[in-house]
Amino acid sequence: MKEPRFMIVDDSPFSVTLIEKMLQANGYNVVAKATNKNDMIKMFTEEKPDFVTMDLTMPEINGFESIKLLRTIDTNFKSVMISSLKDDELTEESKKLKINGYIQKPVKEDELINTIKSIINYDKNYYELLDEHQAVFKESFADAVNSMTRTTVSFKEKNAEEVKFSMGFAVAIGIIGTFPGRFFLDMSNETLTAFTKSITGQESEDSEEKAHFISEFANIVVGNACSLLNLTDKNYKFRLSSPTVFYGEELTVSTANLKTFMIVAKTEFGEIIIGTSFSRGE
Amino acid sequence: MDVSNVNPFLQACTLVLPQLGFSSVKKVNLTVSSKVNAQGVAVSVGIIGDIKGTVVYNFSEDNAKKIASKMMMGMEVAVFDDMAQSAISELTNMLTANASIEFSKIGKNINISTPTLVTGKELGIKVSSNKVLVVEMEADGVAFFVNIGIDGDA
Repeated sequence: MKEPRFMIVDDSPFSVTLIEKMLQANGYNVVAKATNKNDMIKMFTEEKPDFVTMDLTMPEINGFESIKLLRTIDTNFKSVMISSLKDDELTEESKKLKINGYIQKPVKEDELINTIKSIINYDKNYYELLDEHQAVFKESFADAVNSMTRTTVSFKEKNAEEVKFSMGFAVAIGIIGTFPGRFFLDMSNETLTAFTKSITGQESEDSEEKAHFISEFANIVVGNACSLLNLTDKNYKFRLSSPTVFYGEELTVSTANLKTFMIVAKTEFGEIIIGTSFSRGE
Repeated sequence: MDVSNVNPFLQACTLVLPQLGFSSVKKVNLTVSSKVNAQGVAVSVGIIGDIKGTVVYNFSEDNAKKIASKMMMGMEVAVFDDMAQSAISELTNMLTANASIEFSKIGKNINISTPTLVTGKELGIKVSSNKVLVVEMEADGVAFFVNIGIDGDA
């Protein structure tokens, strides 16, 4: 987010001025202010702010309803509730609505600014993760293949749309942390057989045995990659769930619900697809 | 093998499915198996925390389409396309998230991963636990399976 633009909604002009002064004192740009429903809709539509600070108790419409209403106009904004009322029920409701922060009045400048900064950082970290993680996964994958089989790997990035069918064997591992996600490897039976053989020295036609091998390999790749990411000190706190192996005819790994990043690894045993996705855990 | 791990999933089904428009939700059968029941559509969700493992939700493609249709306000689902896949993924996410809240009520704190949805013929599925609790559920006559594999269960 470049230079976030702020909108303040509060039925008290006094509160609006106070919040505005605090934001401006910290170099933030306030582009819109509203003390009633009509102005709120008008200003929001005109300015499309990145951040909205929202009072809870207002005469025509409450703050939660207002956020819902604004989202029907545009969903691409962050929201912070600012109210004299704060209890478990209200914070729960605020979480349910995926409102990014909740501050109790009287507003303290450092609390307001820290809340905004942490929301901005969260966003920044997420986009950095999307930008940077593929390089880390490639490195872990190549290292694992190299140290286990003494062979090298080259990579090619692919659009998720180009990879419609699975090649026959897929292993998925859930990623848990600040940005929950999932990791999968996908390959043909022939690739898996050759890969397994290069390590065990034996050809195996037993799907279960190969499933054990590929589970452990996937676990090493994603474990090493997530350890490296955790070391970058961005509060990712990644942990892994156990692997699930899928095999069968006309297998497809769905990429419908989440943007999936795909890398094709060309190994001596055949192509292996590395898929990764991360969601915002808010 | 701790059968009490099933209850949070049952509670999640009875809570979430009516919100999506199903009027009757019931458990039909509970078995212990050494492998995951596998048919057309499978979604795996990872769990870690006080217990660790994998839940695999399993549907025939027809039943997955019926459930997706209900979730999309009765819109006809002729093919199990991206929209329908997304609906089923979201369903499993809601069910597992709700189960995690139920687990926290009995003092077990868990976190869940995002779902991985797979379709295929003759699906084979292998999770890391040796034993899997297979719960057959029925929502308005539409059957689906919740396979709960907790690591360490033998």
